[in-house]
Amino acid sequence: MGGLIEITLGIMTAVGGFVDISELVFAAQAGSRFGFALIWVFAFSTIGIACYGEMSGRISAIAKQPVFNLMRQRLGLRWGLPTLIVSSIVNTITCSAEIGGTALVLQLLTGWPYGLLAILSTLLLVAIIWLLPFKWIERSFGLLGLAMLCFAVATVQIHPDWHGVAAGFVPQIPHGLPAKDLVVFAYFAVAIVSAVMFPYETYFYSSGGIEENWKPKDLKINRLTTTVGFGLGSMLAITILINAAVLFRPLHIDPQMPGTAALEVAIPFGTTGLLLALAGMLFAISGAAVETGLSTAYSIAQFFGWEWGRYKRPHEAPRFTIAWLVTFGVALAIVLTGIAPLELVEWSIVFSVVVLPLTYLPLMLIGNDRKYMGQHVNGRLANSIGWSFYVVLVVAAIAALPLYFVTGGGQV
Amino acid sequence: MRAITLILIALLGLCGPGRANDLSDIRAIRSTAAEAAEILDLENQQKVTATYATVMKNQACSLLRNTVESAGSQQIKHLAQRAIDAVKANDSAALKRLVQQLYQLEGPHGRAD
Amino acid sequence: MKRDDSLKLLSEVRDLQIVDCEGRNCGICDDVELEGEPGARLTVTALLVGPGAYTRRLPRWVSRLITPMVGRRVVRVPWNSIEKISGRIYLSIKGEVAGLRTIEDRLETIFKRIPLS
Repeated sequence: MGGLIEITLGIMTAVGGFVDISELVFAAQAGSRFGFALIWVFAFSTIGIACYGEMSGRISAIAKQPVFNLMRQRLGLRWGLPTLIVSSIVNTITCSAEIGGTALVLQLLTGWPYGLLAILSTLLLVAIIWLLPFKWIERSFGLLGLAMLCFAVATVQIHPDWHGVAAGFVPQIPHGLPAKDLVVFAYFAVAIVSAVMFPYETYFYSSGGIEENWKPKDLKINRLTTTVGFGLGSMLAITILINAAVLFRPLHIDPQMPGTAALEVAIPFGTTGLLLALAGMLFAISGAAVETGLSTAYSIAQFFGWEWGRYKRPHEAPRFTIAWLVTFGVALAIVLTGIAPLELVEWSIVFSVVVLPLTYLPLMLIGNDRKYMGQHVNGRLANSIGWSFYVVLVVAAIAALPLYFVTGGGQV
Repeated sequence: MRAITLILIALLGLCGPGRANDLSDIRAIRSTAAEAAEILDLENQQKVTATYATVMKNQACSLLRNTVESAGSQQIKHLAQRAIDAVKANDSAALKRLVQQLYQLEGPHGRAD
Repeated sequence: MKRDDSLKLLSEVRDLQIVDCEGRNCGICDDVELEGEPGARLTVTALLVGPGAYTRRLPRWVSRLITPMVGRRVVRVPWNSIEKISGRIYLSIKGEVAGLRTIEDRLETIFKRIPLS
């Protein structure tokens, strides 16, 4: 019975914690711009993150090694250090986008000044991380983020063309698109891959496995969390896309403001729906701020071999504590410069995808190494999916920056 | 390497930097105006809170003001200013007319649907 | 794997996590120290830990850029302090004795003064 509760909580946490500001923004824009045509990219990317997530969790449980330890061992210093630097910068920019998004949502709820709310929310998040143990941090944001399910309820209420939705799961390029729009479509596809497969999610998940002292008996929870949990979380992101396609497209809305996504629930359900949507967005985005802030600290501490983890009190892992405090400080400073969260999201998306191949290569190598994994090495399915996606990630990494500049961040 | 450079130049040629900036400005104004129009309608129907509506309208005006300041074309500056005036006047109908006008302006770069 | 078994120094020692006899993380093995002469037998004598060890492995321009920020400190951990090497380097001594906990212990003292830490 206890095991069933753990599995259920793990899945629910994964669902509520799946969507962050980048998925919110890109799902809404993808739906309003291209209808259902990009659903398959969400589904496809989720298979990838589920595969790598499962692998990283398995490695944590069996080899007891977090991602950045492995990265240092497998890539060495020459490749590992640039990866650490770039991923730390990307994580920090992502953290600032999430803090900015949190402040925006709070402003929509309270009307208070944006800058003040950014400072207050950062201080609150820092206090939460300082005081609460890891499991409480992960579970509370994940479970409260389940308020995002109101988007799925809205989808049912607005009666989309379900045949069209189903067809959206089939890999496709819409017919009759001018060449320029084809390029923008490609940009959105790369951006969605990046948003779904953000490196910080794997760093956080694998470090969490070690925080929670996973053992071989926890492999079942790991598998279910990454497949069922991430799968359902992805469906939630897809409902945001569907709602935008049905509600925003006819109105010629390509959301320029993150708060517009909440209209997807306000239109069918009025003020109650709006408030639920904003609450869901608040916990999902602030949860992502916590994940990105801690991921940066995990990465740095693991790369240099320091004591790390929220299972330790702050004084027991002082350099790790300083790392996440500095990350939040820098992220807040970026927000207070006035750069729009949407712009930060664009930069984090584009640079994240460049780092992805270097992030997932050590996972694939260690996952196949019997010296670390014993009988729990990658099976044929994990290897087929893992290496196939690796090719996709390399292509996406090469294409990301040119597509960003050519399409003006998807705005042409 | 040469092939990649040529492809990139060809892609840039498809957009043309000047035209691409105008188009992205037109899209941004069109969408922001459409978002503001919808928020005004929902506010009248009491489907959104007053706080939400006020903050979103302020954000829309701020985005449009950025476009007025940064746009190269006088026509685009004028269109963005019209949108700001309509938001401040809570004139949803004027915003919707502007949206249609901008959508036509996007011409062959518009959505293929 | 015990310290007297044969192993590949680069892939199986360098860049491994170091853990002391109390199970605490004590840094990464940034390099190994060898003694000997050209043409003669080489002996591994110590692990080298610290920025002074890893900056040497980086391209010169990178090393010049980051050395002012991270310093040149190197801690030498004698090879006979190693208990075993198995995915990580396990020492038979405490981190303080090896000289690997200086910064961590100093910061821990400061942090203990902060409430609720």
